[in-house]
Amino acid sequence: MRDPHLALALLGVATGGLTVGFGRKGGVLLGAIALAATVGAVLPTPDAGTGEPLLALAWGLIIIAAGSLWLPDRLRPHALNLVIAIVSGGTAGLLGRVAGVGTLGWFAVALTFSTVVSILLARKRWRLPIRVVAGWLVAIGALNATLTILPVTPGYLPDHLE
Amino acid sequence: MRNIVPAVAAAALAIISSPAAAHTGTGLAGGFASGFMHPLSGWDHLLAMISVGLWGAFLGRPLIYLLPVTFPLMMVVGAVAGMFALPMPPVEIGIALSVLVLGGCVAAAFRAPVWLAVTVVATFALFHGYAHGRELPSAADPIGYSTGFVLATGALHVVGIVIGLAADHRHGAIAIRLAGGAIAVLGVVFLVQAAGA
Repeated sequence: MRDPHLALALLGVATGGLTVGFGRKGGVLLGAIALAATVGAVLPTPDAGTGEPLLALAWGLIIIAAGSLWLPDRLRPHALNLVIAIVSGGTAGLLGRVAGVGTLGWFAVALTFSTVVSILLARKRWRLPIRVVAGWLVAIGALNATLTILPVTPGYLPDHLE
Repeated sequence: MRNIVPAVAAAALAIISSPAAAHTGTGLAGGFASGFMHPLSGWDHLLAMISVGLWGAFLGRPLIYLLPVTFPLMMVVGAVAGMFALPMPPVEIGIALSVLVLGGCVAAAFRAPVWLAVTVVATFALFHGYAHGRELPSAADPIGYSTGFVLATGALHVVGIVIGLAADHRHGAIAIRLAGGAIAVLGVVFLVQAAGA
């Protein structure tokens, strides 16, 4: 499986900074993420072949979480945020299970840090810069999701030392 | 807020730092830092992206935040086209034209309607993205590389916006229009080089 660290960190940023930080009932959302991540991490070890689809799902979730911030508030109900939180937490947990539970630290740190930052920025009514960053996250997610479906990239071919 | 600064700095350092590895010099160049530096290392990319920010700042809301989102999103579309080697008009000419036209828009203080400004920026973003997309799969770490170049692109737009906001100050508007003119002149140079290549 390709390196999941950046995907986990950006999934944490998208879920924490955008979904939790700008959603209602942030405590419920954080609890749902933590519960889903724990369940994902303690499930029986998935087949190693599930790593790449999980990685693609993580990039897709980053697109959804970041893209949803551009929706008007009435089209962004709490239920949508809750679904994003649960699926993101579960995906992070499963990815951590496949790649090593230590990698979940990237998700947890990014989630916590971005949640705190976005709550502080939302209080200052700095929603617009956050939306711009959300747009960049959509771009990053789309590009990396595409990379996961490219059959092979020279950068991932083993070199002579591997 | 003051306590956040060291944490942000630590997180940024953690992201851009490269892991220690034996056998340096083997394999392919790439990674987040390499991708982040890529748009900063070529004047054509750098000036076009700063011009987007300058023009957005000049045009005001909603383009001040729509243009810095439109460019990276359409750049990704171009990058995907590049990765799959889809046919495209001469990319270097498109990139040179982007410097010329965007610089010219700033110099002329062209108040384009929203649809036109978004269309112009989106079209040129395709060329910049295509160029990145052709190089991307060859990077040692395409995911890190692509994340780096999208964030660097966004950061350059922000730099352009910050400079563009100086237009509110005395003589600021004239200085920015002169800067736009200089960028457009460089765009002509790039265009001549691209046409001669």
